[in-house]
Amino acid sequence: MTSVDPIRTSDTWLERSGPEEHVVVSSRARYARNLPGIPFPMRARPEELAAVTERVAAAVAAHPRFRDGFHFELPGLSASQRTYLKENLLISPEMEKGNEHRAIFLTPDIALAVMVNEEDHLRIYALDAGYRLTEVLNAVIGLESDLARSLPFAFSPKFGYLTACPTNTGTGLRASVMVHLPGMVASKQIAEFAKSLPQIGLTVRGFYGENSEHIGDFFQISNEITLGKSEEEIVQTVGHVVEQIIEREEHARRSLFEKSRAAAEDEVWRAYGILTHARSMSSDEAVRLLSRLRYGVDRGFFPSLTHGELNRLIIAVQPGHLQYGRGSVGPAERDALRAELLRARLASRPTNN
Amino acid sequence: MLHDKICTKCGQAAASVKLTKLIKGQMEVQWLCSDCAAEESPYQKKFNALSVQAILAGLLSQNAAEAAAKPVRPTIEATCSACGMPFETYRETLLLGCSNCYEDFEKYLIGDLRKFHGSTVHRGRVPEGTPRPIELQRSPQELKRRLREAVEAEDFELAARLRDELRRLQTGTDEQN
Repeated sequence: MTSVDPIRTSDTWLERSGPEEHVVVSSRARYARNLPGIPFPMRARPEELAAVTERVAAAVAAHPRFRDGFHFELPGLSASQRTYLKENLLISPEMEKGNEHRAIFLTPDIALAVMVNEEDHLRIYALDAGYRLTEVLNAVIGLESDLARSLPFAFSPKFGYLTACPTNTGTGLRASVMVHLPGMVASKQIAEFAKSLPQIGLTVRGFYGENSEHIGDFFQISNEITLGKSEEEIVQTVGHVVEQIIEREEHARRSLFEKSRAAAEDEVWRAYGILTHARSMSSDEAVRLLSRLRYGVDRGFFPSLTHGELNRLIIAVQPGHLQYGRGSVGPAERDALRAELLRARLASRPTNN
Repeated sequence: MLHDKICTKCGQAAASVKLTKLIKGQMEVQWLCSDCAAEESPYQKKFNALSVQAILAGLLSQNAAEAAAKPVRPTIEATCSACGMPFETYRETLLLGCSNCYEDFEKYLIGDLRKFHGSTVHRGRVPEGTPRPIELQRSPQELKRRLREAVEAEDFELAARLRDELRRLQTGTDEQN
């Protein structure tokens, strides 16, 4: 094992390149599964939770993809480590609390993950950069099939795979895509779009999923309905909406520049100016300004800055990332660190004016 | 993250939820920590997607208004024979106790399932070796068509699964003959 901090290695998946990455940051497919005969985590006793962790750990340890991967026992991680993982979109805000007997297993390339004892005994994930819904669906099906050989999953022919919350039962599948929509937000198209989703069994959430506001024009589109549809139908429905969104967002960004090119360009360059010179910056402001850079990257203003890098930078300015490894840091110091990081990453870049 | 805002209800914890309510035709916005938010609306945890949409849409949809108002239902006395959880606890937490709850509470859950998913019958993947109920089996024609489409789309993993299902169907038919 190298001496690299394993928590930090979880950053790298965000810099992978993916299709449609100018709009789609990442794709994720998640299965919820439970072991029969043991209460769901909310109701299980500690020794029952420990038994679940042990059995899942054994199944994962035997899986070739997870060799040399990461295994985090959440209570053993510090608060700042858990926040870091959450900001990297690897654990949910719920998991961040780090109660006893919660664990997460990750493959070395952070393409597959198994979370233990969150709301369900197992949450099985496949994730990837860009728009790759079909690929992550196939990957999660593959992993679930592999694990099903050594772990029985609670199932009823009528209600499908049984989950702690009936809103997840059936396939137990959540297919989601994280998108960046500065164009649609600026042209006020988000509300109308959000309203149309429930009719087709989809939902839109903010940056971190449950209980969050939309930060920096990032949204997660996913299915809500898990029962009565096949996995393929679910992914098809989400994919269809994502494809529409990509078109609409591209159109919105173009319109902004066509309608008032000077004003739109001004916004990008002002953002760049502030990002490369400020001495103090809040994370809200940083994410807002970095969102503007998206237009610039689209139009080739910053030839050496990729969309993937931009995505990673947006995560890197989150408080947990700045704080990591520094002990207790007050907000003012954090704001200064953030500005320093941005200057370091963005200044002296070649630009096309 | 909303790190700079403090919960307007308890004034202590950091706010992480923006709760929008429609009261007598007026929008009321509160910044709350997750504990206070859960208190404000028992459906907050589960219907958070609606509160984000409410903010975005600028008004609450019919469903969210229904969810925010606690429905009046008769108390159901049932308990799960495996984990002992009373059904009423599910009513409060929206979480079941164990997989057996689905069996013991089946007739009470059907309504919630239909309301949320629009369906009460599983149509997705099943565990290896589990036969599908006959009425849910896809016809060979449909499977062949979907297999062709999958091959055309070069989704070979899906094609393999469909081919396996087709084989299972055909073996079943042969056995009957």
